[in-house]
Amino acid sequence: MRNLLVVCLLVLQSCNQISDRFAPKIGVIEINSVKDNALKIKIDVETSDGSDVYIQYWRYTNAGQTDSVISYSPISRENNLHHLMLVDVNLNTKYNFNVVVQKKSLKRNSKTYHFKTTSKTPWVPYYRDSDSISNVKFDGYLHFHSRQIPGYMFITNGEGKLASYYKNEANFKVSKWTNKETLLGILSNDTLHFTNGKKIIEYDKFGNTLLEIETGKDGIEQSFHHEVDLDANGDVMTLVYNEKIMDLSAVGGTKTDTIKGDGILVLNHKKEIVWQWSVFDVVNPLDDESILKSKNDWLHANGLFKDKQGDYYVSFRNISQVWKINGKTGNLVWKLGGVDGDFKMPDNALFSGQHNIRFTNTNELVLLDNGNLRFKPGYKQSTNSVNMLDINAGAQSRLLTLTLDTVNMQASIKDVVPFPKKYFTHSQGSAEYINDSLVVFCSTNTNRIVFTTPKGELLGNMPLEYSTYRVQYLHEMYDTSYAN
Amino acid sequence: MREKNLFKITSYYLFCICFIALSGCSDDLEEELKGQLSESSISTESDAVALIDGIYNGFLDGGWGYYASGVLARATDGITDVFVLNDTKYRNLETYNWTDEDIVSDLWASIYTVVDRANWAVLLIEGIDESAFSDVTKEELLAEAKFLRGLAYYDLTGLFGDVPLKLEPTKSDEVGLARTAVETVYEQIEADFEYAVTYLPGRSYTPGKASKGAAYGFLAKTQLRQLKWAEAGVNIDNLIALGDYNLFTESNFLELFYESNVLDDEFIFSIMSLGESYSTASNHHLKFFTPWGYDTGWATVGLPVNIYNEIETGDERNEVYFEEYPYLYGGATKNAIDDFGFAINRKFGSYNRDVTAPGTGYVAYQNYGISKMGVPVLRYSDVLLLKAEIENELNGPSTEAYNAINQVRNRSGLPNLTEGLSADGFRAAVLKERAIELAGEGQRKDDLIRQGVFVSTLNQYAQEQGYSVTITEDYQLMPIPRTELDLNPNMEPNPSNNF
Repeated sequence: MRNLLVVCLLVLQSCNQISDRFAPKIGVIEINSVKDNALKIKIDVETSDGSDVYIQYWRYTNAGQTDSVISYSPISRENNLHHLMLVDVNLNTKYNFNVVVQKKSLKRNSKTYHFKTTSKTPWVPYYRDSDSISNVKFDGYLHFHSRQIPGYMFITNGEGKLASYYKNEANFKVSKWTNKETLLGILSNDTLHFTNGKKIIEYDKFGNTLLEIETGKDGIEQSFHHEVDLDANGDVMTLVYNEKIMDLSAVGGTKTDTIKGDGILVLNHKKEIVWQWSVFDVVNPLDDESILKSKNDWLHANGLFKDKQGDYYVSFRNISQVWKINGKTGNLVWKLGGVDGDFKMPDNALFSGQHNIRFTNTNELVLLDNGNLRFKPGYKQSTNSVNMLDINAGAQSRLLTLTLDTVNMQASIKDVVPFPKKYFTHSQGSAEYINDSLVVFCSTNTNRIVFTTPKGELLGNMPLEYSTYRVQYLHEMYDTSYAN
Repeated sequence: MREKNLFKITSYYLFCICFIALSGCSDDLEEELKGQLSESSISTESDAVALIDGIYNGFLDGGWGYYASGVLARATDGITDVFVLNDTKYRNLETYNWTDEDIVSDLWASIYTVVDRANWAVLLIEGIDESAFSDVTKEELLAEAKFLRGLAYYDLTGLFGDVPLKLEPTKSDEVGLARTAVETVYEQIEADFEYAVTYLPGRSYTPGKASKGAAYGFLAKTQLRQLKWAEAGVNIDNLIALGDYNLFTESNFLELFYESNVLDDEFIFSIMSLGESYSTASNHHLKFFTPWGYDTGWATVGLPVNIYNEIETGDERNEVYFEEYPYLYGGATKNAIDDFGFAINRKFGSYNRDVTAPGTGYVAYQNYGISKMGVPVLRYSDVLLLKAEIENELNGPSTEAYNAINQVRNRSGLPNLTEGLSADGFRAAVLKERAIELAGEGQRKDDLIRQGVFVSTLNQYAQEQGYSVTITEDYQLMPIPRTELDLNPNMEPNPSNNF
């Protein structure tokens, strides 16, 4: 009878495990470093067929190990062999982790394991004084790059800790985190020119190369500069240099003079040209009296944005103007700012040498007004009359939000964040709100990422080892709703 | 018996069924963790080169510290009689009022940053497989790292004497090390430079890269600190025998310091400015060696009157050190000694920027604090004068000694040094020649200590300048930064911490 009891218990036990029996199983979990990237952790997981898998990992934030920050890896779906990668980890940190496997409503967690990340990566140029942002904490991430060879694209978290980086043997001149969770960069082999290059590269967040576009290949003749992004269709849009040979003898040039002007180029992922536009389509260089002086970089476009209606906006530094370009016809719709803008503007709304233009969801124009006195009311740019001591003395960069009334052609200030004068950047840079109480300002010329209140009061700064063209705020790197 | 057997058999089969059912619950997957993370993900030559570049960058400390912006020169030459500092910020340093224990604390931090970067580079590059290297050898990169670490320790010991000798990278907030006797630190510095001598190639296209010649030079200088005259002599001779270097004679001495000549082969080792932007990798020397009224410099500093008055007539170096200057506003001729109490030393003036801001007036002012100016750390004239000095110490004022000093004098349009000097006379002549040749380049303090005239010379200088202070040997070492003393229980102060 005792034997019968054992048999019955066994039967009961096997019944208790019925639900467990249907939950997907976990086999070998293999964790490895990634060659050449200390902040990517590769975890391969073997599971039952057709399962979804992600890693939940956490670090304790206090000695008693009661507080922790939990993160989730990107998910791998419907497979039995999963190649997962953690793309959001910090240096010199001990993490605990579980493999979570799920299939329909059944879920299983592995045992808890742990790993520790590389203590330091001194070969990665980044920033050196973490105390300087101890007053700044926010949800989300920042993306920026390092203009040096080799080049790096970075993602730092809201504590200023490096969370991800991507390396290239060439030099990132411009970079952008896209709406498809990829990273785009304009690459060049030189360290001299600030913002142009002959190659565009796109990485996924794991560091795999998705796309490479090169000047002189695939029928693309122009070089790329200042802007690269994906539009809503997932096509690559960038600013390019177009060259036009013209008779400039009327203004003292030669009969076959070359003018370098800006253009827009939109390419799909097959590297086919989807749309293109050239500044020469809409304006005549001979209308510019100083064309001989500026022909090597006429107007100098430095920013491109496409709105929901499919129209483009181009920022021109040399004339301190933003132009709206019809996304179908290529026609110039209007010009904002500068000496011959189409909008009436109060003096304090005028901007100069601006960068980082874009429209908000509520249709306001936001930009970094570098404030470099290339243009100010009643003060037409002139190199001769500038007193050497007053140039840019007291100049100030601002984050400017403008409301545009395109019926009455009136621009007005909605919001302005004046940045501390010591971080004035006469060229390059970016600025945006991280949240209602925090603004991030990329002061390229002083090599700082600066944090301020909406009133422009300094909260902290990250000194960078090498300059970045701009800094971009990311609310998140990827959606993790599957973990809830 | 039979029934019992039947029951046994039945339960056996039931057991088997249950066992099969249970084991069926877990298909053949068994959870198991494999693999491990490697501490370093560095594996390529470009990563290794980036590590080395990071060390070089540390010497400029963002353009505003250590070798850049005249910071080190102020803590070395600045406390001697060849460089007077009248800026408010450096007035206490100049007048030997060193009650602020943090008077050179920035340097301590900058130099240890370089040491740490070098230690990381050595550790990580050692871990890279040989097969990863194609353009340079692994040993060459290690030699570069060790050379730079040696130079950092050479500077540290010159400033502070005994210092913590750290050869491992900092990985955590461990308690700081105690100071190591300077003799032991010198052994390590010599070992680093000897490794560099073995593995570094000869002169490359730029003095900004560590080379065999530079390693010989600093090996000799480290030995001279210890008065090892004969050993230093051998290394100086080895350097000269490389034949890679010569004195700049293509134009006037002043032009040696022009941006366009930063690659001249008189420079054996320099900290190079990349001149890229105001805040990155630019050397702001141009703002820190001259007064505003002359060339918009930010520094009321220059060559003290007494040394200036010792410059002989006909000396071409009078073009570098001068009294009458064109005033910035309007160009009227003014007198620097009347205006500032010193002669201007324009080795690192704004107008030397013939590449980044050629021209005069406003044109020369553009690009503001940016320059491609290098910071000479070791020049061939320094080497020749050391040759003369060593030869005199070992064999008296021989022909070889005269020949060496005369090369430097002749280059500046001066006749040969008076013949028939005694060893003492020759020693004094070399010391004076070095003061005039190298003012503002950070050599004088070592020269005075090596020749045992630190106390006497500086007391005379203090008296001439009207500083009421008595200089003792305690002034040879700067105060250990207060933060270090507070944070590191193993740290001991210098006598100057109690001034």
